[in-house]
Amino acid sequence: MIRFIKYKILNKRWLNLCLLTGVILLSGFLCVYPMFKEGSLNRKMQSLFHEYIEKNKEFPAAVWTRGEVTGESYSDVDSVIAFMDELAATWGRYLDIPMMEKEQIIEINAGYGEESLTGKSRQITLDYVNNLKDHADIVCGVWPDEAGSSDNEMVKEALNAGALPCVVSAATYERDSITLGQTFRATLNKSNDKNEFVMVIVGIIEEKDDGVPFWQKRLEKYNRSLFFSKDDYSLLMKSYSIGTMYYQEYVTLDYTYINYNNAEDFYSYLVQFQNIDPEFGSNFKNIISSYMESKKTISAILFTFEIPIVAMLLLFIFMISGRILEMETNEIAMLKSRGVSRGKIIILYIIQSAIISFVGSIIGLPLGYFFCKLGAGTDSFLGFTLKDTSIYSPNLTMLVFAGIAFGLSMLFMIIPVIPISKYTIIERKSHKNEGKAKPLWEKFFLDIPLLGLSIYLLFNYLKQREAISLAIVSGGQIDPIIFLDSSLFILGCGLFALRILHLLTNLIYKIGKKKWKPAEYVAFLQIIRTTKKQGFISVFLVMTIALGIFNSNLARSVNENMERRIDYNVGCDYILEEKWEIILKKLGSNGPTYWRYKEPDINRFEPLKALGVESMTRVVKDKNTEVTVGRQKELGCTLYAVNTREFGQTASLKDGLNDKHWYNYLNDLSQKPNGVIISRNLAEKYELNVGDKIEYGRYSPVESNKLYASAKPEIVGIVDSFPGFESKIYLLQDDGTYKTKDNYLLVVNYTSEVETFSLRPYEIWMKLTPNADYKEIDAFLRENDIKTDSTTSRAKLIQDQRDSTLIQITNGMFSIGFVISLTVCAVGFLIYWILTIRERELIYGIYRSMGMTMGEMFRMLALEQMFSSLFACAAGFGVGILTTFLFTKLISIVYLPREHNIPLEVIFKAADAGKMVAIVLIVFLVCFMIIYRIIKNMNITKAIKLGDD
Amino acid sequence: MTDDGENMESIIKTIDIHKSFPLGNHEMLEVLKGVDFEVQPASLTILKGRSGSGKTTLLNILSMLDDPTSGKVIIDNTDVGSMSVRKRELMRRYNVGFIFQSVALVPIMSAYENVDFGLKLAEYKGDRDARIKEVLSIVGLEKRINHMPSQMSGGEQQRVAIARAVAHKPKIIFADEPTGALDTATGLGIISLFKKLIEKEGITIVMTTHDPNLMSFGDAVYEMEDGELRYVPGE
Repeated sequence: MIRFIKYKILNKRWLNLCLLTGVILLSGFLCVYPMFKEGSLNRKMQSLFHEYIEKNKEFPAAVWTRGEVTGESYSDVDSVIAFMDELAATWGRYLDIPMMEKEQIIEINAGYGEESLTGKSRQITLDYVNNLKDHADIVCGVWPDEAGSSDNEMVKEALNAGALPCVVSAATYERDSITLGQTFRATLNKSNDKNEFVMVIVGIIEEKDDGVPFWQKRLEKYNRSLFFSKDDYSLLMKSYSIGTMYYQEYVTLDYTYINYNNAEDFYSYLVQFQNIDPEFGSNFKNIISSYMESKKTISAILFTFEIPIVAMLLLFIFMISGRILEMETNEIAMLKSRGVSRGKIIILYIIQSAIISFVGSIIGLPLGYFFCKLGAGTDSFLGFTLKDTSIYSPNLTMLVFAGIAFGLSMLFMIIPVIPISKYTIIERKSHKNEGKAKPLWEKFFLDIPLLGLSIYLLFNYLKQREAISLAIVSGGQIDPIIFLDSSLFILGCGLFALRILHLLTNLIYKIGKKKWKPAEYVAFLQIIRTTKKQGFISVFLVMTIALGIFNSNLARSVNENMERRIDYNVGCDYILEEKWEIILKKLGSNGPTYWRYKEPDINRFEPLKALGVESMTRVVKDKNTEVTVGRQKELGCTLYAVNTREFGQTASLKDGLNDKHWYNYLNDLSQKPNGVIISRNLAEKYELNVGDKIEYGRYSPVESNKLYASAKPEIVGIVDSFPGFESKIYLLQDDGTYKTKDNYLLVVNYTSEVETFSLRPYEIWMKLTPNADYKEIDAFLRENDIKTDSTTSRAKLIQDQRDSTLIQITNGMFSIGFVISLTVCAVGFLIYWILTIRERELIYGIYRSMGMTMGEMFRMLALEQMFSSLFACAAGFGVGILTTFLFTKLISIVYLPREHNIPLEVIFKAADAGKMVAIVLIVFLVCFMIIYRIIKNMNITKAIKLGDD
Repeated sequence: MTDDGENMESIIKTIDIHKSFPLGNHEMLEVLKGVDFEVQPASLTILKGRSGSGKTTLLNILSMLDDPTSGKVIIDNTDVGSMSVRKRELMRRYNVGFIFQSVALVPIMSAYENVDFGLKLAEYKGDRDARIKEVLSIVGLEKRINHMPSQMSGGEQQRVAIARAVAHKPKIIFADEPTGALDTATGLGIISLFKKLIEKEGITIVMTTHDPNLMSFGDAVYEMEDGELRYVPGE
């Protein structure tokens, strides 16, 4: 049997190679899922940790606990440390994450200690911190265990008097004006006079800046603490024998070890630890929790992206398998007639398909790895790069998916065998005209409910668009049906288009039935009478092309709109917000506080010009400005104060967002020092027009509820959009959801603003040359120790967005899908036509023998290709474009849920469609050249002889 | 020349036809070894011979589907060898009809459409619908005009092929083993039909067969043996 199967496979080697290609692509694409999913989620996890670091300026994976021990059970430092080590080891058995550092603290509350210099009492605690000398630097003085070498006279004197040496943090030193040599007198156990201790400050310490994540409880938070050496602290503990001591333990874990495979287990342990010990805490439970939320969305979206391509590949396998079987129909019928049971025939095909599926699935594994790396390396749609994708690594689940590919491809190869294996050679002949029947979907009108359902879902989603946006802004899950609906529409609409195409072909045929020349006559009959047979290639072409067009347009639209919004939101290439020093002066205890900002020297940024800064300008931005119109007040308006000329040279705004070019508004403002440009929503709300006056005021930087000055400028322009201004903002509500609020804009002249409201911190907006790199500006700021509140780079934001998990998945999966679509489209089309021609050689021989000329033969084939394939391709383009216009705006909400001044625009890049057109045309051309060769070289007598055989 | 010795202008004439096929190893197999042969108009000429004797090869050369290695074929006073490919195509289209052993109906066309296709190719000037019905009626299939080939028996299919071959009133019909796949009774029915067509339409039919029962129907019978053609008198 195996020899027979081998013969069968080799006999139709090209077709079986095609089938194998289909299985390899299916297995490869399915294997992308587990690898891409794991990589994307690991990336998501890492980005959440990095966001945490950026936001909180602390290491993101720490666990801690605190508690009490008594001196009776623990008489020295080592015993308490050993107890804490044991605790850490208990967690470690479950939280199997490499430990980076342990901050262990023992604390005795000494109550009020009496200061030697002032005689005042202040609260103090006596602390021991493990490995303090390794993680802190002495700012001045000495360490307690080196106190004997101190040259401070007061210290020496106190030590001679029996005081215990200790150190304090620099923060405590500065805040409490503590000096070296100062002593504290405290009684640890009030019932025992012998427990009175005197402690002398011998040194001031600060955190060591060595990048080691030791200080989970930052040193500045030890604001009542006196730190002792281990020996002295053990002495204290012994004296404090029956008292309660507190311990705190902070364990820093290597967050890079937390990943897709263990995150959920760790989360569950953290929850359990917290249930057992209420004092147990961690700073990464919420990170894992939000990761788990993302995981659901990411998994669902990835899965949704897989479905259409997998369906297309299964259709391809089914189509090729069907073609092979059609060619083997007589063989099967012959076997059946000779007494081979149907079961045996099916087993024969099961073994054959198992061999092909197995080989394909195995080869698909490395292809899946390659696809995943290719997808992970995309920067935009079809923008393949060589960026680092090491976080995407193969995993064992890929084997499961290769197994799924094996099962699915086998199933789709076997399905067509079942009906064919029924017939003997005689029954087969009577079923030969079944090709005339309509395909099942056409017969049972399956396209209509599919189309209806997808349109119904679309309109339902469009109706709920605002709610969906807000839900996504609030961090809600994304409904994967939004994505699936577009695939459903493509299928329904594609089939419907084919139905129309069939009707049209019939109509055209019938209109000219009597008049058609032989070539047209044969071509039309071929198309009409072999609908079922040809249906697959048409459905396949429509689906492939429509999906390719839609996916490319969707990816382009999301990327382009996202970048446009970032461009708009930032308003220029780089924004720098420097830290300003405020100088306060209070007149009398109840008098007003005067303030003055010290402006940093802007000339320090001159060297930036050499780094590619083309222009820069000061921009005062205040998002808490109060506007008064008549008796009505509008709070929280956004104020810009700009140097119009510089601002126009530095900032950028997309054309078409305002009635006229935005430079015109800046020109109008420059003509009127006391002028103001306002946003249209403000003008409409208060029925304001150009020439009207409005009043606005700004709050004091020191008394947040007090307006300290106001101005009454005249409106010189009303704009819809302005660089960096969003007319809708999202406010977080108590229940964690968001609501939208109108945001209003005022743009005034910088000089007038400073005159009225005095100098306050401004942002520095920069325009960079096309080759400039924002990283060089960041480096400049670091090197020159320029303290900033924030820096914003347009290029960095765009890169961050491109690297965000959802965008990465979309670009990656759509790019891979597009490449696969093109491949199967080309292979499928070519194979289908070449086989069709080969199969019809006898018929073509008859046509030629009857005197059909070569020209007529080509006209016939061209017409047939045009109606069954080219029009199907055109329908695919049409359906793809229609789906783009109907669904892009809806699906884009998932990526860009916020209402924005830049309305979502559908981006149709002709180059993508061009690629598909080019591929289709090349395939047509190749196909025609092959057909030409076959027909030209066809020996009529041989062809007819073939029929005899 | 006919068997009764009456001289008529022949519609087909071959002069010293040779045909060889390459066998590989630079060897050639000579299938036809100098065939000289004439066919009179409005006659049924039968070429008989064993399988592999070269009769189909000769028929293919006569019908301009294949070229001889050497020699001349003259049809209707025209040397086929001097005709362009295009002219031969048109000759086949307008003046020749074919009936193959493999039936060779177009499977996607009904009986009516198969015949109609032949008429369209030959640019038949008359009432096509009437002519289709007429020829299908001649072959006894007037009630099956809308049947597809797969819905008909082998004999019925062959009759459709005959109807298609004669519909455009060609001068000559070439039939390669037209009864080969049929039972004797059906085969005889087909030959009677040929005779009827010759009588009614004045068509010349050249057919190959190895069925001895049919020889008596031929106006002239030739036997092909080892690449040489021999006139068989009295059959």
